[in-house]
Amino acid sequence: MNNNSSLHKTTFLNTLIFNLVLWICSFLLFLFVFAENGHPKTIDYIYTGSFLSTIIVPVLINFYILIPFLLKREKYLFYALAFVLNVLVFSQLNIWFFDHLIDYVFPEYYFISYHSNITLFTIFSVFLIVTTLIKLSVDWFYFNSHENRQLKMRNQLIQAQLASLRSQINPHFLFNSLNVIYALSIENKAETKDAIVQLSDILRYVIYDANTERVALKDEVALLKNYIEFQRFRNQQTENITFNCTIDDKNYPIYPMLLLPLVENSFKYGIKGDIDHTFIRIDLTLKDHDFSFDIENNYTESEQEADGHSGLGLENIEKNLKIVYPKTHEFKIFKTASTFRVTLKLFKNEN
Amino acid sequence: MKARKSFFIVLVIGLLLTSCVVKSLHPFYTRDILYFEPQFVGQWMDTDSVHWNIQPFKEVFLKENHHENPSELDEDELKTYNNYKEGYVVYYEKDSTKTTFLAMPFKINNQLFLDFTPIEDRESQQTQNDLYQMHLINTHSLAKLDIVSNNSASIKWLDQDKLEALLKADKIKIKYEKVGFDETILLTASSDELVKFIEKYMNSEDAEKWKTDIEFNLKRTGEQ
Repeated sequence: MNNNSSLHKTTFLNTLIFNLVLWICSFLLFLFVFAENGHPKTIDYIYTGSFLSTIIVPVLINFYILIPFLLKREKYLFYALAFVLNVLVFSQLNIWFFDHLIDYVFPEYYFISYHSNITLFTIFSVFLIVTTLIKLSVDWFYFNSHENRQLKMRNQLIQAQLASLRSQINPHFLFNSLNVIYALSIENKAETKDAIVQLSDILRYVIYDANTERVALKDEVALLKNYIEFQRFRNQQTENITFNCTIDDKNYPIYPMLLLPLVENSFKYGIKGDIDHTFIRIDLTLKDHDFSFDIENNYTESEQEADGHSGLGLENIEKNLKIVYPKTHEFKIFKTASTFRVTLKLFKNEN
Repeated sequence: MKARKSFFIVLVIGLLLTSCVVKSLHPFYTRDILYFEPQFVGQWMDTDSVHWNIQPFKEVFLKENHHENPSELDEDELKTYNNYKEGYVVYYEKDSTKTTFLAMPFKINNQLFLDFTPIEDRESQQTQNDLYQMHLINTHSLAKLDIVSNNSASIKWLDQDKLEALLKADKIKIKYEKVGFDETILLTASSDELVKFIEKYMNSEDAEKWKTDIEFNLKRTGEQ
């Protein structure tokens, strides 16, 4: 309610300032046109004021009725007709005013050698056309700045959404990683310190590099490899983990931390889920700017469904994709009784 | 030294003679308001025993061109005839000096006016050489004509002081130039604008708007 009132107040103020500037400038312009020799006298001030008083009504009709209700609603033909009618009616009234009425209003003054009726009609028409263009320019200026403000607000909203999603991913990842190190340390394994260093590398990437809009694909791939190596400390059957990577552009820009949650998900529910037949297959290809990520792991429905957090990572990825790759991605989940597969494709035109 | 003195005397006399009526480059009338008043034709005498002979232009023009009918006029003559056929030729005779004017009558709001233009000044033409005359241009002046009865009429010229007062008070916007040593006001407004001015001036609340030094009260002396 307060916002609306403030908006109306600003609009009213802008309208007031616009009209003040327009009519002061017009008065000065006409004064020097009518005075001709550049030295306006009392009679010139009276004549100019009278002329403006006859032209102000059609201009305001044009500004606040014809333009908003016809021109801006794309009723161009009706606008053109109404504009011409407006000019004809009021220019005729203007001529009638200067032919007859002005002598009654100012009986002591002799307005003899001013412009002829035809010149007045021309001035009248030109002024209405020029003020229409000025009004449209001013409206465009306000519309443009309003649009920019809207865009900025939308952008800020998206950034806030992204930050919110990332803040959900990072603790999730950290929680899993600490579990891995915890498990290693319980068993007093020598690899614990290496695991900590690798986690440190991963976190450095997450903290420093992942805060940009896009990262090079090679860095994201390095993260995945790092993560897989990190997971090897924990899992015995690492020979069933395959990561095929075929890319023709190492610097292909990609949204940071986009793929890690998918790999995380596979480790959590694949390797851990089934001790005997565990596997993770990752195929990452990039050819001619067409990116494809295909990840598949073994799957046991009961475990996955029992875990209330199982869908959180995938859900976040889907939300992220809608914001950072709108209409230029394809995200699919394939589930069978024993496998869980996710494919992600990013199309050429995004880049 | 003597020549210089005479020049100034001529200049002062010139100022006295020319600074009283409002002069215009263009006629004070438009064709649509011309109105020939036959009552004004005839011999008249004013209070200073000045003789006025008013004759219809068309008759004088045909007579001077030795024709009896306008159809006998050539193209140029016919054009002049048509332009001024509603007018009068005014022979003005004062103290044995004779001048001739073309007076075009017109009516605005039922009031008769005369647009005066000098045509001929025999005395001046005799005393001035060709080169001098080449530099002269005839202007128009405005006179209000009131035919009081069949035998009396009055002619009042629009006084320049009235126009100067309006200009000085910034109450009029009309095209004009100041010409000559004495900066005489010469109206350069179009005939349409001059008619508009007369209409407005007639409605002026100034009770002495037609007060002037150039006023003639005429009495008829002969037949029309």
